[in-house]
Amino acid sequence: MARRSQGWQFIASKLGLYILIFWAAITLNFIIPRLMPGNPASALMAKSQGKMPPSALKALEDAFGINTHVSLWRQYLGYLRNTVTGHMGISFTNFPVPVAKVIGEMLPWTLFLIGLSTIIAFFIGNILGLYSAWRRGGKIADALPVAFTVISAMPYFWIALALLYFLGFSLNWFPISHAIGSNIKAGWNFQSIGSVIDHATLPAFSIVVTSMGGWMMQMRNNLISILSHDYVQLAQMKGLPEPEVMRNYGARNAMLPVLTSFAMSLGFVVGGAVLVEDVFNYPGIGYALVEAVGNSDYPLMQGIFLIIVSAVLLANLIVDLLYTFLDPRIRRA
Amino acid sequence: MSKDDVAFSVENVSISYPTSRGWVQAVRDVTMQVRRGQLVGLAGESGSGKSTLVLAATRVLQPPAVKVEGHVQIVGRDIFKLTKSELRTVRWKTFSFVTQSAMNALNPVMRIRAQMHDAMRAHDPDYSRSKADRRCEEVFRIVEVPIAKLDSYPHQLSGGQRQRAVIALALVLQPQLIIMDEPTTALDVVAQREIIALIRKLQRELGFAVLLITHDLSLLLEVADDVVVMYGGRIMESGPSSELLRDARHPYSRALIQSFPPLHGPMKRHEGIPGSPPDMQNPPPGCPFAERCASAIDVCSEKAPTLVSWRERQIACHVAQTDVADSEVGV
Ligand SMILES: Nc1ncnc2c1ncn2[C@@H]1O[C@H](COP(=O)(O)OP(=O)(O)OP(=O)(O)O)[C@@H](O)[C@H]1O
Ligand SMILES: [Mg+2]
Repeated sequence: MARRSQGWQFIASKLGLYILIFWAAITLNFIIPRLMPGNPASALMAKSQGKMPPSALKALEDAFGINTHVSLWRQYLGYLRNTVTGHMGISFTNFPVPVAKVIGEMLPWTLFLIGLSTIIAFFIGNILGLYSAWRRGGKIADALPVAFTVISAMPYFWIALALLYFLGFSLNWFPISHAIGSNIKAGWNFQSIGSVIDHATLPAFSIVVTSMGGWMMQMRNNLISILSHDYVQLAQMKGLPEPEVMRNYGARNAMLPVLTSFAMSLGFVVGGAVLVEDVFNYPGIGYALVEAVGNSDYPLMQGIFLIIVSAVLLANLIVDLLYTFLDPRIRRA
Repeated sequence: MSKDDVAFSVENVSISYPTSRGWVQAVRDVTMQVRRGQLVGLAGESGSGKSTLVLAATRVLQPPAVKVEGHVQIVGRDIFKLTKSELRTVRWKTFSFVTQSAMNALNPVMRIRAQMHDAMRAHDPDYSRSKADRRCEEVFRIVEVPIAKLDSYPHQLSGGQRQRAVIALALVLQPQLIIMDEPTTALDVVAQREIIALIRKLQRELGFAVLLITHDLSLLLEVADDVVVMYGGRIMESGPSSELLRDARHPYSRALIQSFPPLHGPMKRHEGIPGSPPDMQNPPPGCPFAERCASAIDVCSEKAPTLVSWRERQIACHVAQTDVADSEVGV
């Protein structure tokens, strides 16, 4: 009983910590744009090159929620309230569409493409890593790290562009941009799903190929060092079947540090999408971020930053909680 | 002595490790026995090849990690002739281990109970959860650890409890032989003596054989039936404890006894043996102990002494052998 309530205490204290970090992050998100010269409204005015009357500036400032006549403190309180309730202002590029709506449209594509590819790369990479550590000394097991070291040495965009050129452009096997055919409406039907998969294959493949090696190497190294522990030797002395030793004594211990990196990488799915989505013209958050930066679209940038921070924090929180169940040493005795 | 009496027998075993500079022989032509129900001690300083001997003899160390010559029998099974799966079935059921660092011998992410269950499941075709639970409780009672600790993780046990849990694990399938490689190094002196006393008691009550490895020859001489003293990968002297306790003949055995306080008796200052063990990479041509030996004569650093039997024991020492010959003549 006592142990259970201690567990909850631990989780509560973790939660508290994350809320604190989240608060710090969104406060920075509030401060940084205000330290930069100008504001989105005047940027928009400048862009219209005087074709807009000055009275429009006031209206824009109101719309963007950057009313410079209100005290900073009150702006901050309003900002906190808006953030918590999901009001992130109006996107300048997509004026007058609210930021929340822009993100809402693009986020699912990113989660689908990058999220799924990350998970696939994680599983394949770890299985290969387990295999190559377990069977080290064998031909295939020892060739794997070499092969992936070579692949990791190539820059991502180079691989992505090569895929795009050969499989997309020359052979025309896969579409070279967008997430779905232009004449197809997204929905739960064969034609639509087929088109989505078709469009996602190349970018997903590029992600899996380039990130799998990292997972493999990490798992391989972890497992090799775990296998030299005395408890693994004792498990073998006990006469347990080899796969059981690998699973319960090797992999279970080697998994722990890998999980942390996995959560981190899931958290970075949103933020890490920039390069992939830019190369493959994939309409996700990364693509939106590139556009937002190009157009000085502060509200959208802020909104995307908020999403990235939330994703990273959420992923970390989940791992922290998972860890308390997987590694008994973390639970305070 | 009939063959069935022997729990563990090592015959002319030599073991080498591959290194960047060629093979290094860590154990050289060792022959020894542990009879059923006996407690035999294996003593020697760090690096004398004790762990190498038992690990290679039980095929925990296997080619290509080592090169092994000789024969090993454990409870009538010719260990080097077993297939992999035969070896797996013999392990833990006929012989089990308490390893050198029992502190790290348990998997940190599994409950102790699960780590005992898996051994039973691997070896008992009639395994059942409740039967295994009963056996777990039984062995925990035997080693005097609270039953509740079965559901703990290793880090939740004290050092002494962890040590006892590892011994309980070694007992769980009632093997005929338990090999214990310095089972007490991580503990303080009082706890060490308690554990050794427990091992001795269990060994007498339950009747299994023990090969107990330690640096502490004085301790071994008090608890073991027979003692084997190793140095530089070779046997220096072996024989019944009572004999060696009364009259150790090899200068190395004597030095080793001197360097540890006896269990009982007055405390005095004890010093380690001056000098350090030989470099196994370039072993000396003569007796490995020659350069540290106070009684060494010329021949000691030129020619390695052979192991000769004398009364109930065996000695490999030029000096002791001439002494013995003299005394024999004198009598
Ligand atoms: N993997 C290895 N490769 C090369 N040499 C080794 C290896 N393992 C051990 N040795 C050498 O073999 C010799 C015997 O080592 P071993 O571990 O058997 O000693 P030990 O008597 O058990 O010592 P300790 O009391 O410290 O446990 C030492 O000289 C050691 O340096
Ligand atoms: Mg050792």
